[in-house]
Amino acid sequence: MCTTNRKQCSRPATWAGFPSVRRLLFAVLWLLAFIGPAQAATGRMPDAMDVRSAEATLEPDGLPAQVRQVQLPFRWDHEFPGRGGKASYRIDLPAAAVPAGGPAALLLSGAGNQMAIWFNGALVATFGTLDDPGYDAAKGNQLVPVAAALHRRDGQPQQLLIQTTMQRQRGGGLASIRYGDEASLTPLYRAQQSWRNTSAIVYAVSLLLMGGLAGGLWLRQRDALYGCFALAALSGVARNLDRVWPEVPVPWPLWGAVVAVCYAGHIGLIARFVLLVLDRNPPWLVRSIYGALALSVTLACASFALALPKLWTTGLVILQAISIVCLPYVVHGALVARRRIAGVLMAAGTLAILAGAHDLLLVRMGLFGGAYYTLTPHAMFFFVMILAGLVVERYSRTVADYSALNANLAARVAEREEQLRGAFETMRLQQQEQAVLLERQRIMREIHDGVGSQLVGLLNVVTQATPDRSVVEEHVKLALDEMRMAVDSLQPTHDDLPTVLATLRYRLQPRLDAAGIELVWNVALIPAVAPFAAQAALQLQRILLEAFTNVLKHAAATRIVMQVSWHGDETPPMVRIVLTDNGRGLPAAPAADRPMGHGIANMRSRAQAIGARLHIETADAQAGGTRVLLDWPCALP
Amino acid sequence: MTITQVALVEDDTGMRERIARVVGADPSLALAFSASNATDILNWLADNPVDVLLVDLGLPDHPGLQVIRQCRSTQPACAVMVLSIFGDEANMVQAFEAGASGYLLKDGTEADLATHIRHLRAGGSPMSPVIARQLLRRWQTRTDPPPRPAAQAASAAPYSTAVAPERLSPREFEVLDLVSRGFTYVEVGVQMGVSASTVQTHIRNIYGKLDVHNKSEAVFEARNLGWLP
Repeated sequence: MCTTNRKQCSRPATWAGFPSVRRLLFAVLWLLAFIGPAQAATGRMPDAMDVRSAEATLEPDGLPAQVRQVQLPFRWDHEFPGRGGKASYRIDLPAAAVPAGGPAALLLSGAGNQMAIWFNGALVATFGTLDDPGYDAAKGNQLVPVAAALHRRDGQPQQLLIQTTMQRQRGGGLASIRYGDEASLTPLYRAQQSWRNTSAIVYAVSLLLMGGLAGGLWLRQRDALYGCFALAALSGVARNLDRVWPEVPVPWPLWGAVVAVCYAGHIGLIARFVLLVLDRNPPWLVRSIYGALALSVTLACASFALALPKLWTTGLVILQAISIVCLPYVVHGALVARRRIAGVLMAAGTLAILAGAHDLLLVRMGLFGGAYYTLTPHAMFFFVMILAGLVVERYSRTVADYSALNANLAARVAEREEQLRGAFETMRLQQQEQAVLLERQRIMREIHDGVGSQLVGLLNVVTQATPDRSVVEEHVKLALDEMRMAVDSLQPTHDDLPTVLATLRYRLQPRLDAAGIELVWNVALIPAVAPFAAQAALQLQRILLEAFTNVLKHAAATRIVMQVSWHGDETPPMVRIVLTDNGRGLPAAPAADRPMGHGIANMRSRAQAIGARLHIETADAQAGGTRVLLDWPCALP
Repeated sequence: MTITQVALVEDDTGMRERIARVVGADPSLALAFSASNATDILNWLADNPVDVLLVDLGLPDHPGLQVIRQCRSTQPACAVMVLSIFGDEANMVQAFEAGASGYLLKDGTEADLATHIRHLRAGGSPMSPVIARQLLRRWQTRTDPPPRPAAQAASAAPYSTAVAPERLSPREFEVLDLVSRGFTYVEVGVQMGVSASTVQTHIRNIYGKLDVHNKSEAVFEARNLGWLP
């Protein structure tokens, strides 16, 4: 369904779509205006005469035969509604009507339904077989050439006999006969035929194509507008085919009922289509349209089944009436709501209603002098073009909507990206703040546990009555060591294990020199390992510092060997640090005053914290000494 | 024996006095001038030649780096030493690039300070493993990639990357590597098959190669004045 929203948002597309449709409409109007005078002009042909009356022998089924003079056009269905029958017409043609010696011709219209034509006693043409309803000659014009040899030369009138058989409700009879020079009638016949055939075929093909297109659109989009038009267009095909197809393989009057039902469907559904295009669907009117449609279909069937032509006429009146009822909505849309599409519909609808009135009153009822040519098929063709215009318009609107949607989506994606970027930035900042906070906490803890506890110990010593100078010095040095450890752990190279070890040595070397201890430095190349956080560096420094301090304080050693090796082929890769001294070795039992076990326990817990294994053992059974072995598994980055 | 004239700029009064005592105690040294801010020392340096200038990096009025640069340009013969606190080695590379040829740790005892100064006077150039590692990294990142585009170089810090320093020789690289891994100069010499004094020479050369100020003073001044990008 087309909704009000979509119409509003794509107003430019609506305006853009219709000029072409309007041009097309004007072109067809112009064509119609041109055709009408052309037909009217036929009466004024110089070399031909119109037959005005005939002596007819009429034999309607179920009624007595009669012989009388009839005026042309003669409509069988008007004289004998709902009856078939036979009729023969005797016409005397004036000898002077045709130049002597030249070929003459007869141009007949609305004659039949089957017909045999005799000229001066000679059979000159048959159209269908008399009494065989398989052929309908009345649909078109018939040109019958009459050879010059058949003409009487004696000045007597030419005798024309037309025998016809009629089926009920088939539009039989004898509409007009024109007699004259073959050379002047042939072009006229050709023009009429080609107009009639071409228009009917063009309409039928257009209806088929547009009906098929609309049907396809309906299948894909399930838009009632397309479905309605598809049904309307396809049901309009039958009537256009019927206009040019004399030998329909469906028996009469069944075919008559089929054409009538299709016609009713065509008109009713076009009325519905108009409302759908306008998007004005008052329930009572929609119900009325469907009611009228059902009623006229029923009447059409009943009319042909019961041989009651008036029923179908009633059906046509109902259809005409419902079309007229729809018109105010179209006019309102065009003049009040000022909708371009409603204006176009108003033009087409008014034309269709006028054409319908013409066909109903003149052709069907024979009022106001009667007419043989129906106009409705021409008028209905406008609706085909309206649908084409609608499809074009909707397509362009859809394209415009999609590009607008695309632009909208792109804008929203950009906005989202912006938000995401902001969120990421916020998260990054938070992580950064978190990292800074953690580092700050680490440093605080470091100072508190290290320098702080050393200073507290120092305070204890100093507040004694007689502080031991060397103990004070020892405490101060330890406090400095602690502070330097903390500062070293903040070095930008703290993630580099060899540099961490080297820095440790750089700090310790003066004290080792002062104590007369030789340090053998045997550090292999170690690849950059990950992760080697500041915390790990510090723990490692602490463990080693504790080990060195133990040697300095307790071991009375003269030599320390520091061996660091990389074991990359083990899983996980491992750094092995071995610190060996030649001092007095591990005490048999922990000393009482300052338990060495306390320091070792510290080392163990630190090793545990960085996932390393600590092993402390006597270096040599005879020579003594201590070996501290640290296995630190670490991953490569 | 010539007496080495020493000038000092240090904002901490206690520190100034300690250094003055240490210098005074050394018969071969004489403290010619002691300032507490950059302006004073720069004014004094303009008129008085000096052999050694001790510079604290954190001065109240101007950055110590500026004092180093200006001293190097007005008194090229003067050796500039950075007065550094423990653990600040990473920041000293900038001072070397500005023209400092050594550093003196000021947070040791007075005895440590005296030892240190004697060591420097004997031609020793201390280099901690952290400094060695820093220098190694700087040279590796400079020599590995091709020269940077001018725009990128200009946007970087003026002294760290604007002027590429002289290339290091393989021996100098070896020295830096061994020092960064914790070996003493003596051990480095043993491993390389040279004497410890040769190692000292390498170290001094490495510091000298850092001193881009020497070679590119014009460039630096031009950039400072906005003549160059």
